[in-house]
Amino acid sequence: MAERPLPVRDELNRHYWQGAREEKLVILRCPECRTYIHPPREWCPRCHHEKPEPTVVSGRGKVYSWSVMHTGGNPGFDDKIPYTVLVVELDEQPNLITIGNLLDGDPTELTIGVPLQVCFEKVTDEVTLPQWRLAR
Amino acid sequence: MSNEMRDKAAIVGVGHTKCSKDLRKSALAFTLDACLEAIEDAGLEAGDIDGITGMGSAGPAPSPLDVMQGLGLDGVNFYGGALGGGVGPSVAANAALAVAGGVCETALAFVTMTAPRPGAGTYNYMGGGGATGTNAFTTPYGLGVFMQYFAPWYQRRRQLDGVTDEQMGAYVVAMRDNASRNPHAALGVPITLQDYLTSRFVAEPLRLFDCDLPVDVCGCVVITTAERAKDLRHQPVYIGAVTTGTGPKPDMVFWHDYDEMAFKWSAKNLWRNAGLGPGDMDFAMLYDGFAPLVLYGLQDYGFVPKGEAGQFLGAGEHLLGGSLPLNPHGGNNSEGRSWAIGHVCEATLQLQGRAGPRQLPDVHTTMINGGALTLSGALVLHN
Repeated sequence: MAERPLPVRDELNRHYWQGAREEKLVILRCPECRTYIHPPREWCPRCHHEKPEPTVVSGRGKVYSWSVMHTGGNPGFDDKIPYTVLVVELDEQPNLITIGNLLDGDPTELTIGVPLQVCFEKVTDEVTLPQWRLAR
Repeated sequence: MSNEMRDKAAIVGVGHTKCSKDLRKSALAFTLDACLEAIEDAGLEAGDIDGITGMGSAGPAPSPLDVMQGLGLDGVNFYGGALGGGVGPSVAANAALAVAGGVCETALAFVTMTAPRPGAGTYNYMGGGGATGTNAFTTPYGLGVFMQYFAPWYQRRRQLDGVTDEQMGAYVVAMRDNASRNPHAALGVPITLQDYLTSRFVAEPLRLFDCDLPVDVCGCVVITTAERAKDLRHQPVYIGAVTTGTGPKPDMVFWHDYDEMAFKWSAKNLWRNAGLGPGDMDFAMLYDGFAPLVLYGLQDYGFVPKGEAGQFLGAGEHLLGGSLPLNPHGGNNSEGRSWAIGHVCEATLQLQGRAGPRQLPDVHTTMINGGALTLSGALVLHN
């Protein structure tokens, strides 16, 4: 069975994955207009500032949407079916979206707006993934 | 914004293979079958073609230049793929703009799809190139298949608008019924609402029967100038407006607002350029590669107010006798996955009065949309 893909680190996303290894959620933010930017971009899409800065965020978000996945096709996930993919809206900014799995919790408890707390899943010595659990 | 291309190009011929799990010939061979059928249908010869726009699923789908050589043409004045993200409508849009602008006179616009088979590529899985770019933030979480991208959008329509399984089931049951009168259709056997309700989840709340079937198929239309169209075999179907469009964050699942798709951006100028509005359409050809995409098609193009598409389906307004019949050929949902070129072919046949047992009475104007999520393309057609 094919392996679960792991994020390929590059100049643009290094802050995110390095932050995750330190169990911090790190999102780019424009130092000029203060817009958060995710997925990372080389420029601020709002004011064109050229040096968005890695910023540690609260790690709190809300369920924007979700799906419980029942089919294969994703390398490394066939033995995890059914698994839950969350679309998380970070508390820092409306419509600031990130993707994760529901690591702890019952997906039948999900509804739009339910608060979530980031947690971290160490996959290898090199890679830790930001993940999510229901906030209590 | 401009309406300078309005009615300067027309669809004059249609070719369409069956939708099959295996057409038992190469993708190029069945693509040429459909292209030659469309040329013959128009009353033209291959040598009349001087433009080709087309695209298809990854793997063995032929390019416009493969088709050019297959037809034995000396060359073309224009070739290309789809404009924007709407595929079927967007290959037609590209050809229509080229014809209306005088870049070429008579163009083929085709889409070729191939059913999954060994060596056919994996266009369904978006992470094939590794977890790089935005995929670095999706595929490590098991989010890499297109229907999985769409499922959370549908989830919001259910949560926020109260869309039900019964409402979506009413749509899918109607598509199977429509497809029963379509000789090309892969899924032409009627089903009941109960069949829909018991179909398994693939990515909740999306069910298997919400998803179109991947098939071998080529659909093709011939587009020429309005002047030339007048002298050809069939009633010309004029292209009133074309559009593609997208919003400010076209990163699929990272799009800024799951409550409207790129369709909303396409719609902005479509109606103005056509000089028509959604209320002028006698029927609509809404893309339904995932059936609940029609919720967005209905809302984003202004056929129904935001949040009311589920009620529209539940009330049967999409049926052949309803206020706005949808997809009389069965849609991609029941005809087979063709990225909406089937919609373009069917719209043409309906407006020419050639849709046989599927023919809607007294129809003159329609719109076709393609795409999903951050992808969009659309046409307005009339006879």
